[in-house]
Amino acid sequence: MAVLELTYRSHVLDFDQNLLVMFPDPSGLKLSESDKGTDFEFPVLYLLHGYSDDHTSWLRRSSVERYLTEDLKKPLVIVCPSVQNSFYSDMVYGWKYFKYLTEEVPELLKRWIKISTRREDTFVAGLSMGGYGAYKLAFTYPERFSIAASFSGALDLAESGRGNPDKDVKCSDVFGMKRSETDGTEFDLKVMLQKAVDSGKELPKFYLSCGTKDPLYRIDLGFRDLMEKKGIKVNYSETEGLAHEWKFWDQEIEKFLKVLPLKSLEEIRR
Amino acid sequence: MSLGRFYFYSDVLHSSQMVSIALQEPKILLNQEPSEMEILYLLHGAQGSSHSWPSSSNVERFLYESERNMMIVMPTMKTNYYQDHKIGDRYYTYVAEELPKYIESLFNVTHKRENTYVAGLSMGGYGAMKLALRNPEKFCFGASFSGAVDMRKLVKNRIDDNPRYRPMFGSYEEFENSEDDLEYLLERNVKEGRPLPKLYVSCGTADGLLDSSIYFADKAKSLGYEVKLHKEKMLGHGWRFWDLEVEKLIRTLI
Repeated sequence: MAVLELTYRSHVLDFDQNLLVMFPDPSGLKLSESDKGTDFEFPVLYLLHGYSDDHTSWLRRSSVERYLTEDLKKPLVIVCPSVQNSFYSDMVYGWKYFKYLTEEVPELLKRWIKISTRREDTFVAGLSMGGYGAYKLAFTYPERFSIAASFSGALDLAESGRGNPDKDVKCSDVFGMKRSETDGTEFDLKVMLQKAVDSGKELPKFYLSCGTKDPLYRIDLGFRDLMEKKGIKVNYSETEGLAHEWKFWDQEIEKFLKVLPLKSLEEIRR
Repeated sequence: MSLGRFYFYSDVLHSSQMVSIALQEPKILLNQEPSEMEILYLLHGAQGSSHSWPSSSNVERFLYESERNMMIVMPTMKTNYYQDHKIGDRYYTYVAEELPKYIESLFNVTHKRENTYVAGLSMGGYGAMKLALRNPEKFCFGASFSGAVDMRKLVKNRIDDNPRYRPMFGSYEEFENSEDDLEYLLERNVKEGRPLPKLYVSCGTADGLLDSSIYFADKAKSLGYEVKLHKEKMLGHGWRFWDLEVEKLIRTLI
């Protein structure tokens, strides 16, 4: 196990923020075996938390760290940021979390850690609100990410607010309106998707999964269909009987790590 | 102020280790041109841990105020004297070899000699001098605050009374003139024409280790090392002194 938990005063947010980074262990880097150089360029997975969660949730509630250090034979750095309940957005009334995550975090990581900034080595995944965040990052910066994954993603904001008055007004400070009113606005993933398609840029590969008992199941199926209608290939997977729960996300992150096109230790040596 | 807690599995010690890491604050860092980080290994005293420096001193704030792009690495050593035990675990190998190599693999540091420093208090003063003098090609600077730098005396006096000393150091005869013996290392580096790290040795005048610090600094000086000896009036073996010292250290490092 190799985990770094950092606390720093974010320049963009101007308050103390936490970031959790998972690394391969010394044994995973074969440090004791060779006198070879230590100049690596690690691929990075940004792993995004859901509503109510924080940067520690993936570590605590799933076994991602074990999958990384024990099962995965190829090195990878996993970065878990924390964005509170901001939907990975620059809040209308509040803080600029999207700017924080897309400008400050990558720059800090680049200065501190030996990560690759190449598209082919950069991945993003998230659960629920983090699934929304992962696709938002991928649609906004398709040139940065080669793979984006959503597990039980809140992919249709407006739809998920409808018929649920309580939920609908939560995060009004983020959107500046009720959730059900976000259709067609900058917070609407469908708008971001269209922009990405119109940009003509090469889009990342998409992975999308959901449990069939998840309240978001219909929404996620709908979003998959929409993407396919736009000519985007989606690697889709569903699990019978699972709901909006960590049992599903634990299974998904294990699966997802296995399909990442990672390079060998020798290949990431500079 | 940026502080990290870093946990990983050490192959050398076959156990999970914890290291505290202080980094420059984003506000300062992002306004500077990207540069390679300097690195300071900051070692705690007997019974301490990687929490000692961050919680008992203002090291994190001093780094921020210095505006240096520096990484401060604070490992956990318990009371193991930064020593490969004769019977037991290899703490020196961990802290002097595995840890720097691992840090260098993950973080943007290259351990260029002119950017690599080590400092420590009490038992960590011995550790810092040992790291610097055993690897004079790697460290340009070593500092001891209230350090147990007269280890010949300490080992001789304690080897029969303290049950931890024999498994750690063997016998006095084994210790003397070994690579764990600072006086031997001081002489060896000169004899072999190795580069000599700059040394800083300090102690409070109310500290029982004052004489050891003076003895060690004088010996190093007489051998041709560049040594600064500082005696702090009235202060004893405690954090009021070490907090002062670490501030000075970060501000005035080469």
